[in-house]
Amino acid sequence: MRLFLGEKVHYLPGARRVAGWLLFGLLAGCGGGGGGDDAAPVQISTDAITFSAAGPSADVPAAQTFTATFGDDVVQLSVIHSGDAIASTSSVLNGRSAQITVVPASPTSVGPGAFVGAVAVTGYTCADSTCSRMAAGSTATLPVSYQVSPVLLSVAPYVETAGVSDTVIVRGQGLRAFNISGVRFGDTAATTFTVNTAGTELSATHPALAAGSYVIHLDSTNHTGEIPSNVTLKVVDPVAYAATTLDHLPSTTAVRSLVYDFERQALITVSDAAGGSIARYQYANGAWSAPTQAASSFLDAALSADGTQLFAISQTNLAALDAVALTWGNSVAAPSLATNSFLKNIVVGYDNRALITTSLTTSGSTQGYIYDPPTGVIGLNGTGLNNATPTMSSSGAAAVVSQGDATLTSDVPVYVYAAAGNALSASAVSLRQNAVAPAVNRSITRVVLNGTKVYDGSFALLGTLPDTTAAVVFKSDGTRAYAYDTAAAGILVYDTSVDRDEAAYAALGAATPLAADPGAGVRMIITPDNGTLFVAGAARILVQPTPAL
Amino acid sequence: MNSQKLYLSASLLAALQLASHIAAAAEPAQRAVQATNYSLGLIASDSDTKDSTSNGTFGLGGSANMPIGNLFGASLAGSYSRTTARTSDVLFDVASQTSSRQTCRFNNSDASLSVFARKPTLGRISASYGKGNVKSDCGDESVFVSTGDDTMGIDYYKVGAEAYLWDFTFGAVHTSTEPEDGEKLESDIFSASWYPLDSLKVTLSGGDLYDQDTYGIEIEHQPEFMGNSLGVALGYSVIDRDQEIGTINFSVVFHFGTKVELKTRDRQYR
Repeated sequence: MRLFLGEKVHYLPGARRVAGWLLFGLLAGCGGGGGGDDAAPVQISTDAITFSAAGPSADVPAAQTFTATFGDDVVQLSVIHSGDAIASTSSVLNGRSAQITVVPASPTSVGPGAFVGAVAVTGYTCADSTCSRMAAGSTATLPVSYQVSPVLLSVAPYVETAGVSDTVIVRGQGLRAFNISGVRFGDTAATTFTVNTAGTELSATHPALAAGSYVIHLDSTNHTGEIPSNVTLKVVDPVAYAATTLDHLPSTTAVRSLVYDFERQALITVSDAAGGSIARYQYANGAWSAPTQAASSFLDAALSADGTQLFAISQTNLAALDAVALTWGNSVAAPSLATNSFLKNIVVGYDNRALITTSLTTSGSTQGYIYDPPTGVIGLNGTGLNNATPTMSSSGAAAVVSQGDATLTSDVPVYVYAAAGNALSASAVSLRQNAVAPAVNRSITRVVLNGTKVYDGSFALLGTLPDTTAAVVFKSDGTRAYAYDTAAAGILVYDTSVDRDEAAYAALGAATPLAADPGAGVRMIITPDNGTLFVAGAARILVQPTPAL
Repeated sequence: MNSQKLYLSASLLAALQLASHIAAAAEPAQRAVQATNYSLGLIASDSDTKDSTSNGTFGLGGSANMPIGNLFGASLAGSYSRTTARTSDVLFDVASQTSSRQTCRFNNSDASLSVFARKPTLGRISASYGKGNVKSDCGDESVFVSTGDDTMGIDYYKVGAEAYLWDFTFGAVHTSTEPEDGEKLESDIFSASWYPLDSLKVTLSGGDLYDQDTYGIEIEHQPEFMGNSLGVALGYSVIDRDQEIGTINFSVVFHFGTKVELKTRDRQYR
């Protein structure tokens, strides 16, 4: 080490060292004070911001603003945010303050739930005398909370029987986004409920209710305020229809399907009259009215999930008719129909989407369709089936679809349509369908295929019905099967609550005779209150109180 | 505080200048800059603001120093760096799969020209002009208060004086900074450097910025085993305010061509 004066030394002169420390000390000591006048911390005008939306389809809540004030040392104001609650922020400077706007995320984009976010406002100052880089000054952080309420879409069935406890399915969105602690029908609490994993539906059991309308409410322990709902369960008194006969429309030679409007006590038939007609028989004041009708080569029809419309199909089109007046609404053509194929049957699930099967003039597989009423679109469902015949459960949750015909050399699978995903999947059972449509009970714990084979919900064969069964329906709980038997010329009742180990079921009691012969090609339905059977054939329609067995 | 510092510094300078005349009489004539030389280095710093964000800066800096006759010299310097704020300090953990925590970054660039007069045995007086630019990228909107947009230009002027006394260097710099469309910022920094070894310098500094006291200490070393071409500096500075800002600085600089000891470099080459 060489010093200025050329003297080579190996240590520092003591006096200089002392002087050095002394000078450093003086320099350090001259600072003092602190806490500058210009360094006022960033301050904001509010402690928190809260947004709320009534559901994922609701409008984006209005943006909220707050004011930030800051000191003279701030050269840059940073407004940053995090969390799902916030879509964006913006700021407008005005001197030493800024108006900061917080825009919440779209309810559609985040979906139902409780979301949080934060906005941090930091005033950056020059870190050195030439401002060559920035250093953070103070920061004010604002918490943001955002509640997007779950939404209730529908209840299925939308009509229930007064005085009877039963289970309904409530569809919705975000039912797991909050802690659902209870379900109420009006002011009456559900006895039990479960929410599916996806949070898209809940199954709730209501106690016996009096006739009326009940808005369905969800109680939540962590939702601020009442969860919005306008989904209403209608409860109607059962009607004890007297046994009677109803005449078809003139020139009817075949009945294609029967539909019962439980809410309005009306029977709807689809027949071949005038090439394909719908007839509606209204029951009022103890009597059935003459039918109102609509004709347009209709082949089948089904009520919409809320009962307001009747979706009717012709060979190539779907028409949405008013369920009461039968006036026409939208009509949509089925796209990409295979050559020589036509629409065959329609059923509607609890999501109000319709499954439409197709048929060929000869045996063969063709794709069916899914109709989505909100968009008015009919789209191919991607599954090829052979002249398939669906029967929807009264809950609307699923349909059993049989297919094929006697000309086939081997059996073909029976399918199950799940309304939850609008998907068809093959069951473990294969057969060649005959003229008897499948029958299912409300919760699909019992199934009858080809009018003779009784299965449980897993398609395990329980027993058989006579080959003379021309039409069959289940009591809603599946404990009874009511069959129109051509040999007995009446209604036979079977106890399907028991497993017959694939043996034949024995009828309970004698056959209940009908008031008249319904004719060929019998179709049969049962009212949701289980009190009445409607049996229709080529000759007439029979209203038959359900045998009390 | 400022008047106190000025008084102290003026007194020190006068005393040191007098003493330095004695030393100068024994030295051969030396130029303000012995030879044109260049430096290039990495600069890094980490600032932490109490109850606010911390941020890190990393960049490159370089300088060229050249003589202008015997008495004068000039220096061209430039730097580019990026500052990234650690916003997790202020945005509590609410990020999710569908949203992320926003960040804040600054791109800083700076160039300056200095001219100075120096007697290596006495000291140096200098004047500088520099231009800088800071561009921010913070959240949805980045706004500089003076410009109203995401960039801000900076002009600054410096005048400074240094006095060399044995193993000590005392300096004072006045800086006038004019942010684009903003109010002028005046600041002073006083420093005292001590060379316990010719390859090691310890600098204490104090000053004011926005009427806030600033303090700093820096140790710079030029290891001999690196051939006196590489300088390493480590420093810590504090802006004394309610939300105290502490900054650790670190730099590694390579000096091209000139292999001289640190004290010689400081007093005869830059």
